[in-house]
Amino acid sequence: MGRGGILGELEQMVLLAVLRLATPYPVSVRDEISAVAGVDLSRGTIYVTLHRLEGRGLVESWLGEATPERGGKARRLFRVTARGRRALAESRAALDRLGEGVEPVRER
Amino acid sequence: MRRWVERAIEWWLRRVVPSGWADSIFADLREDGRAGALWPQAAIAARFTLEALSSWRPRRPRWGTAGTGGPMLATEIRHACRALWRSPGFTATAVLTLALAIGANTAIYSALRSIVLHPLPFPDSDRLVFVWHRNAGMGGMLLTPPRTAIARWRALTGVFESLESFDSRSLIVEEGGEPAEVRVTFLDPSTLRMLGAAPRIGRDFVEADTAPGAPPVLLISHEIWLERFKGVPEVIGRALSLNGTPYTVIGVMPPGFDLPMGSDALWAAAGSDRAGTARENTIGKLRPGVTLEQAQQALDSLGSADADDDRKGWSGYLLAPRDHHGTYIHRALYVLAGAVALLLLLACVNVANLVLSRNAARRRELAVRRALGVSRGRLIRHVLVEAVILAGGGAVAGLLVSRWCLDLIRAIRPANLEALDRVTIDGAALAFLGVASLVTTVLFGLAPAISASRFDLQAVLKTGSPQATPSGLRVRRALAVAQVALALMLVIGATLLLRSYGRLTAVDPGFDPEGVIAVRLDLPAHRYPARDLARREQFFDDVLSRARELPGVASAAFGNGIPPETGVMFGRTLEVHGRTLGDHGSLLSGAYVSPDYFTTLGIPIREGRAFSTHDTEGSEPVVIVGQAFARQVWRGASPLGARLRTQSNEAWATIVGVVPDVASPDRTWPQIYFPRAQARPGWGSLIIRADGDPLALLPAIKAAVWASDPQLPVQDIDTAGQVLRRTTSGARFNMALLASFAACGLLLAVVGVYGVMTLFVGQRQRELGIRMALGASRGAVALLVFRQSAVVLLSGIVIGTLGAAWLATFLQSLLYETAPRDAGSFAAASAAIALAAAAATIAPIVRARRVDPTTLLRAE
Repeated sequence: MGRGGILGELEQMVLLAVLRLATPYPVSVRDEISAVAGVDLSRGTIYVTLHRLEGRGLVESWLGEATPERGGKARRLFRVTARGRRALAESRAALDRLGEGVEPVRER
Repeated sequence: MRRWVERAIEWWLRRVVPSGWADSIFADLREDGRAGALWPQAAIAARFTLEALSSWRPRRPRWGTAGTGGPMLATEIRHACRALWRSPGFTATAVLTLALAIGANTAIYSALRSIVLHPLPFPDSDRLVFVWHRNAGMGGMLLTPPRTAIARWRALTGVFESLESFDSRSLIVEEGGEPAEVRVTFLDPSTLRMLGAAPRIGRDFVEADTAPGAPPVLLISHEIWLERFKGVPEVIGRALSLNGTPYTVIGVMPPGFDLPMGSDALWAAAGSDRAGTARENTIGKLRPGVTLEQAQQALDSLGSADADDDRKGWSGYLLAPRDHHGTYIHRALYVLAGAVALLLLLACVNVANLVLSRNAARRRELAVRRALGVSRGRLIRHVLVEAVILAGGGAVAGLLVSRWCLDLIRAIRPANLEALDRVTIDGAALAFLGVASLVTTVLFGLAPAISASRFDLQAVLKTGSPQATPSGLRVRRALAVAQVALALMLVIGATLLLRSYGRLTAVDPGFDPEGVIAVRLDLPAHRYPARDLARREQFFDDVLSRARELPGVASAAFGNGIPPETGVMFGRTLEVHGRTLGDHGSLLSGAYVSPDYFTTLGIPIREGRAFSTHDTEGSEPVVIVGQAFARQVWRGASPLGARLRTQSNEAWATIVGVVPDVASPDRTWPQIYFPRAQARPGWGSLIIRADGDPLALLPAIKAAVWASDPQLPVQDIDTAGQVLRRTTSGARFNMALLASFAACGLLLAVVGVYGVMTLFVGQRQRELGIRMALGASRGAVALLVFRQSAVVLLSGIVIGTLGAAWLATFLQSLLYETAPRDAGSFAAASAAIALAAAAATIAPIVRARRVDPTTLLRAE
C-alpha cells in the first residue's frame, strides 16, 4: 500500500470523475458525479478534495484557456497523475480483497 | 452594506483558497449562473477554512510563558477550545442561547427591512412613489388614477423625473397543459427604464412596439420561461397566444422580477389605443432632493384635469412604497422586532449569568495559574479568546436558526405579504448581532479575569471548594430577576395576542363553512362577447346542472365567492324609496347569486323568501338584504316590499327577503344580494357544498366545467376553511411568532432561575449542613431555598408586570376586542412564569434536602 493509505470514498469519486471527463475542471467534476453517481456534492467539497489530492500528488492542475462566457477567466483543469492512478487501483483492489468471500457484500 | 459584505466574503475566500485558485473559482461560479451570489462564495470559503483548521497542528505548546505573536494566539485558541469542550453543558447552553436570539433577531430584522425599510428591489428605489386617486369624502378610499389626471401630473417635471402608468389584466394562456389565467401588464417602454430593469435574455421594449399597428410583443417571466418553455433560449421569437391573440416573445426577465404592486408573469407593450378615462396603476420617480411632502404639495396645487373629479373630492395622493402594505403590518413587524429585541436582551443576560457562574467555578484554576506566574494579560486574553469562540459559534448557529425562522415566517406569512417569500438573510444584521453577543460575553467574562489579580491567593487555595463571592451571588440574583421580568413581558404579549386571536376566530362567519368549496369562472370577452348574454347564461346554467349531478355534491350555486371574499361594490349611492338614509358611504358588500346560494352556504332566510327561478330579466327586479342593514333603516319594522336602488340610473328593486349578516371586510357596510339572472355578470364563483371532503371533488368539478368549455381556466380554488383562515392570517402570524419568542424567553428564564438557585444551594451548603446538624428539619431547609427563589420570582414578576403594562400600549392596534392591559392575560402569564420558575427550583431544593451534615462537617 502506498503512503496515503486507502483513499476515501469521496477521493475515489473525484479521481474517477476526473479520469472520465474530457475537460475535467471543478464544475464538470461536480456535474459528472451528480449525473453518474447520483451524489450531489457541494462546490466547497469538490474544491477542497481536489486541493487535498493535489497536495498528495495524486492529481495536478494548471490554468486552461480563458473563455468569454466565464468573463474572460480561465478554467483550472485537472489531470490524474500516475501516482493517482496507482493509489486508486490499490484502494479499489484492497476493498475488493476485503470483500472477497463475504457474500452478502457481493450480492446485488 | 451589501457591498461591504461582498468585499468581506471575497477577501475571506481569497485568503483561504490555494494561491491562484480564486479567479478560477469565481469564473466557475459565473459559469454556474451564480456570479455575484454570496452564499456559494461563503460556503466554499467556509469549507476551506474548516479544512485548514482540521489539518492544523500547533508547532509547540508554550503554555505558561509570557509573550505575544501568532503561534501564541493559535495555542490560546486551542486551549480555549479544549477548555470549552471540557464543559459541554456550559458551552452548549451558551451557544444555543446566543443562536436562538441571534437567529430570531436576524430573521425579523431581515423581514422588516424587505417590507418596510427597503421594499422595492430597484436602483434608486427610495425615490419611487405610488400615485393614487384619493377621496377624502369616502373614508380616504384609494383608486388607481385616470389617465387624464396622470397626463396632467406629468407636467410637474420639476417634481417627477418620470411618471409611468400601466394596466394589468388577467388573460388566458392555452399553450402547454391546463389553460391558465396569467396576469399581463401592459406598459410603456419607458417604465422598465425608469425602474432600471432589463430582460436577462432577448431585447427590451422599444418605442416602435407601441406604435399603432405594431405586432404585439411580450416579455415573459423567468418562472414561465422555465415552466412552459423548459428554459430554452430559442423561446425568443416564439408565439404565445393570450385570449386568442398571438404575441411574439422578445425576452425573458431576470428571476424574481416583478413590478412594484403586481404579481405578474407577462409584460406586453402597451398599445396606442388606451382610453383617457382608463384607470391605471401609477408609479413616479421623484427628482433627486425632492421629498414626498413637496411632491404632494405640487399635486394638491394642480388638481386633476377633470372638474367633476375635483368637485367629488378626488385628488392625487402619493404613497411611499413602504406604506403600500398598510400600517397594520408595519406595526406588527415593529412589535415583533421589539419582542425579538427583548429576547436578545434576555439571551445576553443569560449568557452573562452563565459566564459568571463558570468563572466563579474557575476561581481556583485562575488563582493557581496566577500563582504559577501567568500574567494578568494572559488570563484576560484567555477569557477574550473564549468569548470570541462562543460568540462566533453562536453567530454561525444563529445563521442556521435564522434560516429556519425565515422558513417558518414564509410558511405562516399573511396571505397578502408575498414580499416575505423573497426575504433573504441580512448579512449586516447578522454581523451586528454577532458583535453584540461578543460584547456581552467579553464584558462578563473579563470581570473575574481582571479581579483574578486581586485574589487573595491563599484564601482561594485554602478553601478548596469553588465558591462564588457574596457580591457575585447578588449580581447573579439581579440577573435572574431581569430574566424573569423580560420573559414575563414576552409571555404577557403573547397571551394578549393569543386571546385576541381566539376572539377573532370565534366570530360567527354567518354561514356554515363545512364542506364548502368554490372555483372562479371568468368568461373571456373574446369568446363570450357581452352582446351575446344568452350564450354566457347558457354556459353557467350548463355548468350548474352538471355540478349538481356530481356524486358527493349536496348543493351547488353561483355567487361572488365565499364570504368575506365576496367582493365590494364601491362608488354606489344607496337609496331607499320614500326614505332618506344616513350616510352609508359608497361601499356595499354585494353579491350576484343564483337561487340556491343561501341553501348552499347554509344561510337561513330570516324573513320573506330566497330568490327563485322566476326572478328573471323579464320579471320585477328584486333584492335580499342583510339583517343589520334592515334593522338600521326600518328599526324593527319589516323591510319586505320596500324598494331600493344602488345607482340613480337603475330601476327600483323590491326587497323580498332578509338574511343574517355574513363575514365581511367591514361589517358596517350594507349587505345586499342581487339575483344573477337579473344582473347577468360574465363571471361567477361556482360554490359547492360537498357531503365529504370538498377537495376530493375538485377533479370532477374541473371536468364538469371543461365539459362545457375545455379552454376555460378553473381558478382561485378555495375551500371555505381556507378563506376564513386567510382572513385571520395576519393575526395568526403575529400570534405564532410572538408565542414562539415567548416560549424561547420562558426557556431562557427557567435556565437562569435554575442556575442561580443551584449556585445558592452550592454556596450555602455548609450553612445548610450546620443548620441540619443543629436540628433543622429537611423541610425547613427546603423552605429556606424556596424563599430565596420566591424573592427572585416575585421581584421579577412585579418589574415584568410594570414593564408589560407600559409596552402593551404598543400592542393595542393589533388587538381585537381585547384590552391591552387585560387583567386575565396578565394573571395567566404571571402564573405560567411562576410555575416554570417553581419547576426550575425543584432540583436545587432536592439537592439542599440531600445535604448530609456529617460528611460536610467532617470535611471541615
